Amino acid sequence: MRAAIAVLAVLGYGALVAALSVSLVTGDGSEVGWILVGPLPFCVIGAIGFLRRPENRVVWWLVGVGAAFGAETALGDVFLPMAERHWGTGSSITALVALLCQWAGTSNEVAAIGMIGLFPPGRPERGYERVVIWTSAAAAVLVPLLDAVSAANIALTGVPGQGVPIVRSGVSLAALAPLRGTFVAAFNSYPFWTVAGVVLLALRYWQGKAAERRQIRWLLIGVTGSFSLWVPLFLLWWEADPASAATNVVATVLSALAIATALVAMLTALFYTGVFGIDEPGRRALVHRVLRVSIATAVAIAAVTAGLLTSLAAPAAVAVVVGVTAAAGGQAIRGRLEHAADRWVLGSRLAGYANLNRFGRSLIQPPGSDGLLSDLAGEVRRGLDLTWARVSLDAADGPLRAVTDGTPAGEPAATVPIEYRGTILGGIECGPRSDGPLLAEDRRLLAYFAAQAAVGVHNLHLAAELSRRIEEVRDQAAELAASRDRVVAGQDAERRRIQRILHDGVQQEIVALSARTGLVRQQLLRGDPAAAGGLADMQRDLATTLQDVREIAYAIHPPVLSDRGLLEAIEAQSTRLALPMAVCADPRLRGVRFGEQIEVTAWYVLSEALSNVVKHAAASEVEVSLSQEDGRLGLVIRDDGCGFDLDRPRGLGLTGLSDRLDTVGGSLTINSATGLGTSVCVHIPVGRNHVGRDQESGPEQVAGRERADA
Amino acid sequence: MPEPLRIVMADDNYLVREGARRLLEDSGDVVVAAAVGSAPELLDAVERLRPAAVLTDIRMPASQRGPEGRPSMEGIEAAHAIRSAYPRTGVVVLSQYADESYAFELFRDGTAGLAYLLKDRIGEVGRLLEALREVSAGGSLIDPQVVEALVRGRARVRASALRDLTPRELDVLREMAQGRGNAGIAAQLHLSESSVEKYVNAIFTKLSLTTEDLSHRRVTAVLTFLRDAGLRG
Repeated sequence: MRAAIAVLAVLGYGALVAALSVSLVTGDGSEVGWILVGPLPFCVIGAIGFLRRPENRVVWWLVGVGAAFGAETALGDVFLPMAERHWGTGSSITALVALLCQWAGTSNEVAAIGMIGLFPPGRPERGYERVVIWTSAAAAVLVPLLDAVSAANIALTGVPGQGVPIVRSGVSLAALAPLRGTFVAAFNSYPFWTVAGVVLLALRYWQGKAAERRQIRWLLIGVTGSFSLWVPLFLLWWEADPASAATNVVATVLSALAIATALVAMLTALFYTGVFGIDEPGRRALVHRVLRVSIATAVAIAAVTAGLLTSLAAPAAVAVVVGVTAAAGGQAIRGRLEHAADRWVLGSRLAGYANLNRFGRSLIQPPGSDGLLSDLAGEVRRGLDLTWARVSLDAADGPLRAVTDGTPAGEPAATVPIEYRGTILGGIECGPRSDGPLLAEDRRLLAYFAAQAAVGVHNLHLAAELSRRIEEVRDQAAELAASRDRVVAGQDAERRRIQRILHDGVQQEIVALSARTGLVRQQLLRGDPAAAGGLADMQRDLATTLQDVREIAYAIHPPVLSDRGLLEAIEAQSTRLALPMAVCADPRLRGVRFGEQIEVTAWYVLSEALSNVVKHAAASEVEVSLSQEDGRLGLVIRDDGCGFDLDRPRGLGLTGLSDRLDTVGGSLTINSATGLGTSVCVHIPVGRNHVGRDQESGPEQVAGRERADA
Repeated sequence: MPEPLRIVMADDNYLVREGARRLLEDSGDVVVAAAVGSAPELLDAVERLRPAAVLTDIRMPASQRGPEGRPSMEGIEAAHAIRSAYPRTGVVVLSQYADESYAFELFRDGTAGLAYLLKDRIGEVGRLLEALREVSAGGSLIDPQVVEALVRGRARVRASALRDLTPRELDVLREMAQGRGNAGIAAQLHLSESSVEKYVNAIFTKLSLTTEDLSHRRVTAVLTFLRDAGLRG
């Protein structure tokens, strides 16, 4: 069918182009003008429509209208006069051309009936529609034939007295002569066959639902208007004095108006089938523009016509006055009409940008809310006039959520991912438009929607991420403050412990020594020989006191830790501990220095753990291992003692160790069970670069220290 | 040779207790009737033995009183208990703390029969004996180091009346604050007793204090003045 349409179009359009070329060559200016304003617009609209929507049946009919109109014009106005001049009016070739011209004319009517009467589906849906179409098609073929065989001359309509040639039929049969009048009349009525189409359209409008009525309304008004112009035009051609200038002027104006109105009606109809528009607002805007131009043209033509008509019967001055008055009045009428058109067409003004704006506004909602999704889906569906649309979004937390607007039927006509820099955040799926398949413009707009949604959703994700991070930071800050408080409390407790050790221990020893000194002094004053023994005792006790002070200082911070390093300090500790203590360590860690903070922390944890072992574990042996892997310092203190129940609430001591380790980003793991010993595992990040630097500079430093020691 | 003083000693540290006991007994001026390690034991011994004087450490944590980690003052509390139950028994409190607040806590209800000495004095047997005799006679004594700290601290305060005192008057004030009577001050500073009396009157006038005959009330007045002088400043 499509191929047939294409062939028809090529024939009709070809004829028109040929006629145009001939007219240009022969210099027939008026004919060129007629072709340009008459059939050509129909051809052009039909061609564009066919290229955009080759499957649209309304477009097929329109192509038929254009092709037939073009062929009729070419044959009737250009080729028939040529044939007549060439072969004479009696020639059978001339008669054939005339017959073809007639067929083109009747075909034009059939196509017009199809286009108008079967709008918008473009195919007969009811019985009477089929009857009308087939009847008109049969008449289109038969009437010119019957006319030719019944009459001596082929009845060519047109403007009487405008040089339409009288062509001899050549195939007329005398027997049919009595029917001649009927057939000729039938043929002559053909320009009005289209009325059947208008009637069919009116019936459809009458029977149709609101949605169909909206589509039909404009076409119905347009073609009715057009016919209300054609009828007086034909009456004028047939009845008025063809020689009168007024007749010509009025005829010209009327025909121009009639054609323009018909064109506007068809264009409007095509817009409503979605051939040109991408969305309702765009369609409305175009209809609006066309309406305004039509109104302006009509008012101007009316004013000029009024002036010209007056000039036929009145003096020139009066004509001018009438013309000017008409023009002035016309402006007022034009304003009114335009205002009415604005209200009528753009009741709710919406443009493509408005759609994008509304879509964007819908995005200002928290992600993942069903409200957002249904709003987006609704905007997409309404904006593109789709049968259904589904929007799915990856909420910042949780699974993909999707909301569908409308009822999905079959496979989606388009699927557009909502993607931000390669990350899929969701997608838009949609069905076809409610008036046909998706157009390229629709897909582009969908892509815009998706891009806009992607940026919006990405921003929402960022915002959600940000507030989550802030929450985390807040939590960390609270934990840090609590940990810091515990560290401070731990330090205070440690200070008091040291104070007690000094006060109750060393200080008392010194006080006692002081008393002994007093005693010895008295003995010496008396010359008592016991003084020497007392002094010897004091000397021994002084040595003990000195040792005690050393131990205290060592416990606070062993000099070997700051002078030699962690491994050396651990090894030194093994000789001081009351328990057998084994040290397992990578020999490469010998002499390796970590940050002071790290070493002191590790030492603190070690001495606390060892003191716990001595006090509570009842262990026979303890093993300490030191390692460094993956930028982490590992310290494990394992004993074979009685162990303890891990589920028991932690004492202040273990929490204190954790807090202390927190200050260097370290972690503490304790494994224990009653009767199975305890292992305390500590990990402290030390950083590879740090170790590397230490290892590079290590030997030098160690050498330096050794020299100092020596 | 006067009668040796019967005393009771208390210190939670065995070494200190034994060292001091041997030192005092070696002097021959003192008989240590009992040496104990805690405040309850001390009160028990005083009740049984009724000594003329008591020598006690300020802090005896063995009694397990006072919150953990805070300096406890079992010795001071025992001193107050002894002084109120047995007014004829004087108490010398030995302290590690030079802070005046401990001394003022001891002299909360008066200075009679009480002495506050730093533990540093334990080797100076003469000073110990002096304090024991003083308190057994109902007098009082404060370690000169504490007085010195008080006077030095207060005299620095710009508005303090102590700035009006001459150096000699300040010396006399120090001695007064330590609990010495006019005769003691005269001996200590190598002055005549009448000169001391003149200085004392001058000091009391300059500091707007009322003259007191009883030395222990005089000590209270001076100490109270010294304590509050800083605040007035």
